Amino acid sequence: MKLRHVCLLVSIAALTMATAVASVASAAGASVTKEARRSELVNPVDYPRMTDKEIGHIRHIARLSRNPPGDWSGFDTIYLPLQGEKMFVIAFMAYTLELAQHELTPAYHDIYKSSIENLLKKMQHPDVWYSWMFESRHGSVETIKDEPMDWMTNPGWIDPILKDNIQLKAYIQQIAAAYQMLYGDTRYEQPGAFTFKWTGGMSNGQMNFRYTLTDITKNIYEEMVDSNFVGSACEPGRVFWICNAPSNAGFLIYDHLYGTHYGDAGPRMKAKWIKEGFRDPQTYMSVMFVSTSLRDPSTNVEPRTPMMDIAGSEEAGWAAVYNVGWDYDYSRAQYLVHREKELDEILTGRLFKVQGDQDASYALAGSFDTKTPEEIAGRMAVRSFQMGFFTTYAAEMGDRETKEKLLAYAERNFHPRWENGEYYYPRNDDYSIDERGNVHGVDVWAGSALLPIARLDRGGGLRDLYTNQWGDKQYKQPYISDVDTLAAGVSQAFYDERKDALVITLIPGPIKTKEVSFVVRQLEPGKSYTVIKDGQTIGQLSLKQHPASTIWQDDGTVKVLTSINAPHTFVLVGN
Amino acid sequence: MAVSIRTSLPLLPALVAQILGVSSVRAQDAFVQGQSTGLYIKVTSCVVSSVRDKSIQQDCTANASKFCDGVPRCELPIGLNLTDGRDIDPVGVPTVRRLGKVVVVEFQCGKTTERRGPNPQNNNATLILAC
Repeated sequence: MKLRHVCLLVSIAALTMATAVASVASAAGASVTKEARRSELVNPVDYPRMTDKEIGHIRHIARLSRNPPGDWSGFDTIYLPLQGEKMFVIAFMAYTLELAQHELTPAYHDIYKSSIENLLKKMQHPDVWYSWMFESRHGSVETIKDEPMDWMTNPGWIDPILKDNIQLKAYIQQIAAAYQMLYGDTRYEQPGAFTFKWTGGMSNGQMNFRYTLTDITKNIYEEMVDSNFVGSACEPGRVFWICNAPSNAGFLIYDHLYGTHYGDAGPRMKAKWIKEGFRDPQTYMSVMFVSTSLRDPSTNVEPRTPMMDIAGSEEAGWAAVYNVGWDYDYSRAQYLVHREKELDEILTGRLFKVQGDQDASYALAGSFDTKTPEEIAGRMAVRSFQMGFFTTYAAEMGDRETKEKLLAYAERNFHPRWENGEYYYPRNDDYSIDERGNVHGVDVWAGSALLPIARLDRGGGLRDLYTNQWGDKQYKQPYISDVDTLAAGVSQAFYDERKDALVITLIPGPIKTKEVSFVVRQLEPGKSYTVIKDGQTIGQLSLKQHPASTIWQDDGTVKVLTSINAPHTFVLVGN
Repeated sequence: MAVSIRTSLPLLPALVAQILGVSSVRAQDAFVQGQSTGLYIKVTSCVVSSVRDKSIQQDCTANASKFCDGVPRCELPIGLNLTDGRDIDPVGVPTVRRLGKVVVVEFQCGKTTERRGPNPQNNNATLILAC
């Protein structure tokens, strides 16, 4: 019995071993098959890809962001009020970068991150905010309801953040909050992150005004509360719907970062404006701005413009491209109501026809003398960015047909320029209408920011930026860096968490070179990755082995080398 | 360079002009060369007052002196630190109160007296005082 038992055990053991060996062999085969299958499941065409023109837009903005302090070439405009208020152009350049970062190439940061930082530095330059010293005193403010102005026109109100001036601080708040959300980088929460240096003059000596992202956010929200959600004022006693839109979107991002509930500002402001008759949800018309008491901004609230369509009330979508973050349905309905008229005005050239001896825009200051060529051009520059806003609005709404019509119009008429790998519509102050009814003039805001952001927005991109926030999970994912942006453009950079796949496509840049490289960061050290180049597996990448064109670096990153005579796509799939 | 100079010295006008002229030239030379003038700050007056009711005031000379006396240059915070953390006139909604109090600082550099303000009392603002 004992022997029989032993024999039986031996037989069972042998059988088990054989089964085990077979299983191992089978598992190895299955593993290879599984790797191959996983690699095959990653198809680069399934991921966002930037075109050469889109990369050109980003290069253009990145280069302008690197202008030396005080060099505003590429930002200038014939529209004089805008020349003194560069924050708008700067801000929309930053949004263009943030949108592309978030939506199109999330696994490549360098050019976007550094350029956003540069643009936020420009927001602190005296040329951008010094005008506040005058606006805080007089500007467009008149005495309101017998309230004397002297108490608030003292010589010390220089600080551009302290009170009002939402037209500056809302943009800084939104850009900085989005930056922190995108990168997990808290530099704008460090003391003095935003420092506005008053360099003296006016006999009042030098001063510094220092703020953090949180300082600015709380400052704005407090003004919302104090006004009973009429809004924070642009200029003393004047509240524009448009000017509050950036921070109403920025609050959503800030809430994500800090767990606050400031995101109620937009809905409560909207409810207030509807209740007071400043916004009509039936016709989707609105007043552009209201005036309030200076001493108590929740009182003496009066409309200062008639009810207007979106061309008049918000330059055809200026506020809407933020409001999509918290009021998508209204924004979409508003778009559909006004779309045909806006599109027709642009495509027929009617938008650029001078109307009478006086032509008025409520945005950014008043009326124009149409007998003066510079003023006509200034008026038309406003209409140029109106065209830009409407194109962005169409893009955000996912209305591809309208967006393509408008971009095609720009391509035909705005003399687009390729220059050192940059692509943009250069400023042209000649807004005369040609025999076909087309206009060739374009303002920098449209040509270097709004049309680019429209091209980059595949639909819902801004809404996604405000509401689909990144966090620790994204900060730990693999990404690439150290690309020579003149030798190559990063067309794809996407990490697919579900497939554990990093998809990278480089396209040739303006400077011809045999070889370029990029660095892959945050790969898991103990993991093996299958490396695929242009659809062909070129090897396994792990600490033990690597394809010939890859180099493990001492800091644990991997340098990848490639020729760049044509686009090349890399996929790294975790095994 | 705009410099507000006030003097109560009982000197002949010509002599005053000569003295001030000399000190102004020296200050400019120092500015150009980035050198110290050899003078040090002495805060002589600091007052926070309500804009709404000018009778509401608080002397802040001691608080300002702590920051700036005896140095050639200082950066003086002009927020609630000057009034021991207290809002001296807490009337009105908070955001309007941001403009409700103003600070005036006077200091001496040697024989010249300089004045800064009125500036809103502001936790995010600093004055640069320099000799």
